[in-house]
Amino acid sequence: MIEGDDVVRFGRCLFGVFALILAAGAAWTSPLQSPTDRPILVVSGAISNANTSDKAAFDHAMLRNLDWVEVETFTSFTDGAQVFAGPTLQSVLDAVGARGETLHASAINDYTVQIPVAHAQQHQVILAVEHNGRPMRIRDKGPIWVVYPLSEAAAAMRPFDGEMIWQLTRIRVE
Amino acid sequence: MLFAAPVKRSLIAIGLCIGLIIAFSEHRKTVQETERHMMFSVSNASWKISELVYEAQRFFTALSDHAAGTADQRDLQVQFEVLWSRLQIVVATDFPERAALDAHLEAFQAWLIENDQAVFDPAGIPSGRMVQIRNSLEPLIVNIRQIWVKEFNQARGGSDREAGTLMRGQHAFQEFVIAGLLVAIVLYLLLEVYFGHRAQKREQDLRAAADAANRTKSDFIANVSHEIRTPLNGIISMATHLGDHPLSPELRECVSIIEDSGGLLLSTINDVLDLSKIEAGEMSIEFRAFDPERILKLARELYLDQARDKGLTLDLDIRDLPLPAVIGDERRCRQVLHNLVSNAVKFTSEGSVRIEAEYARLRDGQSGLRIIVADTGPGIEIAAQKTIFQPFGQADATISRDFGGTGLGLTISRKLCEAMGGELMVSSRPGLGAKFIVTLPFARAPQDTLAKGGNGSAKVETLSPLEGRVLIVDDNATNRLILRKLLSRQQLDLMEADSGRAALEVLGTERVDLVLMDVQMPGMNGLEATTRLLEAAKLGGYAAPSVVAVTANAMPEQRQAYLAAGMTMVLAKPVSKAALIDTMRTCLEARKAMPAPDRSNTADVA
Repeated sequence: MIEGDDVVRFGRCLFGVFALILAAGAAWTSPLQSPTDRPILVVSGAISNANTSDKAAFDHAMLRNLDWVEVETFTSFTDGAQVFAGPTLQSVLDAVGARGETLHASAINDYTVQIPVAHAQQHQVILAVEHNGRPMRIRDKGPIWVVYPLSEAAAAMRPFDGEMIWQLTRIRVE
Repeated sequence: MLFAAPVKRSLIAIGLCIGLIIAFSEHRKTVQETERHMMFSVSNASWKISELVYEAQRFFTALSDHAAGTADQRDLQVQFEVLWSRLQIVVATDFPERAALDAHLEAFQAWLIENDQAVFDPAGIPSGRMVQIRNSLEPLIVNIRQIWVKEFNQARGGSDREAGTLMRGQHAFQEFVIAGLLVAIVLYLLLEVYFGHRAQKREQDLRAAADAANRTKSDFIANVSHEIRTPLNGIISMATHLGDHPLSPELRECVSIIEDSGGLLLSTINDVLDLSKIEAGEMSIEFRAFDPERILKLARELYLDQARDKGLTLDLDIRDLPLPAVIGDERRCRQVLHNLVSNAVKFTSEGSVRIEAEYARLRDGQSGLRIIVADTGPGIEIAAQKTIFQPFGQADATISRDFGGTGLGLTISRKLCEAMGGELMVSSRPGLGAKFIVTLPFARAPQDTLAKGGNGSAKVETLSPLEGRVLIVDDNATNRLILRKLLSRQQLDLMEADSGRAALEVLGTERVDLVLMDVQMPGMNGLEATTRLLEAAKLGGYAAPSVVAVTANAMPEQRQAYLAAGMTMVLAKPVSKAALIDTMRTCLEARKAMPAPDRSNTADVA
């Protein structure tokens, strides 16, 4: 049996917990700076940090400031070892405070694929911005190519060809 | 060895079959994969070209928008970049229709390079140049689209073939594996059939060899026992005769031991001979109408004295009087019955032995005789019930010592019953007596086949001495003496002849009722003598005597030959007193019942 006094006490408790959560959220999420250059990637949907209304826009410099890695890998679309460089997908998701489970990644021509959020950690996915040391132009599958680092043999099996979308410009988190 | 050979072999067969199933499903998967790949290959190339055409169209639109001032140069540049990338993708894609498109793709590429600078000109695209770009792009798009539609529709087969080659190697391998497995299974079946056939043949050969060996053994036993029986005949008969004389108690004891031992030896030999015949499959079963009631009464009669001596009652209970005449082997039936009754009397020390008989429906629905011999003896252990039917399988080793007997009686009885299509079973509990049940599926004889008068039963009860004139024919004086001694208590007029010829001479002057005829004699043998004396009687117009063969050669075929020659009955040597008297009584009474010509000699005076 819950009496009136208890209800009040319970309400207070609840309020305290919420306050704590909000404070913690504020402490964890550093506010996302705004792009100074032309944005090349826009992240929308279930995100905590935005810099333009409800979206998070990134220019080249902002991406470079994230967890930037360089990988040598193989793809079924290219011949021989390729060097790709760019932020890890996980670092981008962390930066925007993504809360969903699926990423809807769209290309410049509106081609869209779905990528499970879990893949970012599991497969060390990177959002490649540079290919063999040079920024990718649109004509070279730029500005961003979603790359799953794979061995030559694994790449031949084409396990993630569907997810490896190129000319990426937008990600919606759901 | 982990598994037995058949298990191993079936494991191999199952393994082959499973392998075949797996190979088939793999093959199917590959075929599906090939189809899928072919579809993908076609749709993939299709998709890429349509994307190219689409992006070219969009660039075209962007160009128009830019010219109209509704889109800036940046939009146009992005669209140009996308178009560039789409062309690279088509160029990098390998598909069968590429050859037809190559020239146009190259032209497209040249167009891109040619206009690259103008599109990215920081000073903006001159309007004249824009018209030129537009006009030069239009035919490129139209051409690529036309060629693609044509090639895609008409050369589709080529695409299929092309895609198919990718998987062809894999196909060939899988088909090879399937064919290999099929060959292995067929080989396995052939080998199985071959070895199965060989094993069967080997088994047949072994069986034939075993049969031959068994036959040889049986022949040997038959010969040996015959050689033993003849001298034994002398021993027993003389001991019997000696026992009829006044003797000191000690000597009488000796004589009775000789008699008993001789009798046991003789029955053992007879049993061994019987068994070897049965096992060699040489025992023939006769099917003739007979009166079961008569043999039941005779069996009781035979063992009644022995039972009385032991203080037992021996009763015959016929459930449905009168028992019908049946068609079967009277002699074998009697043999079984005597064995069972003698066993029952032998093993029962107090109480009763009871013979029950009925003509009833048997277990398998057939009608037949059921004869039960029940005693109040010691009974038989369950375990021993299985062994008592084995040769020499008496329930207890001491039984042979205490009660005598050969240990073959029940074996023979059961085999005889089985040979006659019936069964012999035992039902017993230790201390509660034993019950031997004989079932014989004998058919009911037609009413008139057996002249069954009231004298049948009367005859059994009054065992009067035999009367009549009897001629004993045997070349061996001892044998004649034996027969004479065996018949000494009867009221018979006995005459003797030492050859077939002598017998005919005697018959020329004397009228006799019965001739005891040896078969194997020097000069004229018994068969010839019989034929002659029957002919003489026919010519002379008098009733021929009944001729009973008394011989050591009493195999079924020989028996048949004697009866065919006109002899009435056959007695096997050595002759027991009971059998001799029983046989002679049958013949003499038959003559008395039919004073006219007897059975063996029909066409004669009234």
